[in-house]
Amino acid sequence: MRYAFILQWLLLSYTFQAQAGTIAKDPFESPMWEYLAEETFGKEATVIVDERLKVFAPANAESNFQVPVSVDASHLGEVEEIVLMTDLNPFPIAARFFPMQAKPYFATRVKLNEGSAIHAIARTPDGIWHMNGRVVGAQGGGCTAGPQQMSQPDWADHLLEAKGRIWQRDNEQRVRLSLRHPMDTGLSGDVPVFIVEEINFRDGNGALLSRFEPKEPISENPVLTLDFPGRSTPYLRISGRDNNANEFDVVLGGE
Amino acid sequence: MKRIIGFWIAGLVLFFAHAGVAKDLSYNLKAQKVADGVYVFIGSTDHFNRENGGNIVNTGFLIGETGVVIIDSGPSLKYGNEMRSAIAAITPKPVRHVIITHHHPDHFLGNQAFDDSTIWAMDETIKAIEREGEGLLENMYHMVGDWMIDTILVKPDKRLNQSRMELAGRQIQFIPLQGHTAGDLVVFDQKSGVLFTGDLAFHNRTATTPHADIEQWIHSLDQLARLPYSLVVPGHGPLERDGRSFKQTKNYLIWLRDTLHNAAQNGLEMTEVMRLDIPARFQSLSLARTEFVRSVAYLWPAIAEQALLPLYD
Repeated sequence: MRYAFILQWLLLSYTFQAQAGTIAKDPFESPMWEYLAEETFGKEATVIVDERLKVFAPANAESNFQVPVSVDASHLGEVEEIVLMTDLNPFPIAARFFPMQAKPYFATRVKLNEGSAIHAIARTPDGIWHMNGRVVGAQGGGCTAGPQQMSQPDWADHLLEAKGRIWQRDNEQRVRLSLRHPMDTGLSGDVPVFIVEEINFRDGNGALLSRFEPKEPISENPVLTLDFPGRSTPYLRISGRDNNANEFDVVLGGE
Repeated sequence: MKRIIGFWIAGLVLFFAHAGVAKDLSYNLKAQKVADGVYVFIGSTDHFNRENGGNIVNTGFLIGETGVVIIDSGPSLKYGNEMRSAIAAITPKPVRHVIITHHHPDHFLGNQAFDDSTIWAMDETIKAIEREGEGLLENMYHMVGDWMIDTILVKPDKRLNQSRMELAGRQIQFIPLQGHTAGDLVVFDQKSGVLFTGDLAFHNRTATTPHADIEQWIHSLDQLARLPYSLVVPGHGPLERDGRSFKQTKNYLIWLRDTLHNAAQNGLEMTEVMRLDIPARFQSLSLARTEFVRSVAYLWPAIAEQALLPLYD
């Protein structure tokens, strides 16, 4: 009982040290950061800049339609949720990731409307949000200008077709999923928003292992890479749906 | 307060520095004679920026009996105009023909300076310019700014579909290849043996791959190596005489291809690939990291997808 009290006190004082209810200034100087952080995490949230959270993205986008981003929050210990934010996109939130049994790490690709800060914000069980990011320029160019990517015209024939692979590594399994989906933001032409909204990873017994929620900025034909520590069973069931209730449900590995 | 004053001073300095540059922007193009009636302009091996104004490319010209034949017109109207003056200082003969090796902006956006001559390109190049030209032009304005002033898109007006032609009295062999882009034209001046490779050959400068097909490119380099050249004018980087730019470009492309395929088979993700070590032998090439990262951006999505298996219920 006494120990519980002390623990609580320690937790509280830690929270106060981290200045409860404050949103850290953005080291990447995104003009949208404070507004977005308050909107997304609430005025009472504690958001700190944390160098232990690793965010990787190239300094220049080259193709604005396929900008790679990876987020590694494993040095924060247990992480309950990671939000990926592409500040200057019309829909800034790019994804929400609930690692659960997966390592608090993911890699995917986003669309950028213009050069922007990309933030990852990870919530630890004490309720604190840890933030870090990168600035990605989106000046195309020259020898440089990439092939213009357009929605593939035959997308409807292949909607939610899945590809994937498991790599068994020393202490973990790396899992990659690639889905066919236009991921339309609803902002171009007369095409309404049409995006994959959830991807669930389950084990052989149907228990939920991890969950990834893509939003509008995720690239056409989304690709997602996760790591599952301590797993060696080569069997995963991956399911999900888009906002038009089209579903997919596939088995990865298990032969 | 100190900071604010510092900021203003920095601003003023930048303003005057910029104004100074804007007044006398010049590529200072100097024609270098490499054979009888054959001249080249050698550009920087850097990336496009506001200091070099896009002059990162090698261009050249041939003087024939009745006129001048230009190979690639450079990145801007200003470059084309300077080229024209540099040529006029060497010969009174008129520029009769311009040959465009491929559709990248540093090679053809000077066309406007030569709109009174015949501008030749392969069909693939003309189509690519029709498709992407405006976008490429806009990007050049973003990247090099004032150097581009008044530059508009002038498409090649004549399809090149002969392997040999006499232009302005000069016997020229044309070798249609591909790999750097879907249409890479190689120009061989038969009398002098000078070979203009376009961007199939990079020399001491990392190859760029935004429209590349690496297998085709390697194949094209093998074909170039068999030609009876006396001098190689690579698309980027210094002149050479022994085909080393072919070997260098080929070795890099093989390494790039194998690195990306291995990474895909080993489950790496895109930002991990961008951070892979570059072997020492390629680190001396200019822009090694920048161009590798760009190549990953262009080539990786398809290669990574090939390493995956279809999934079913």
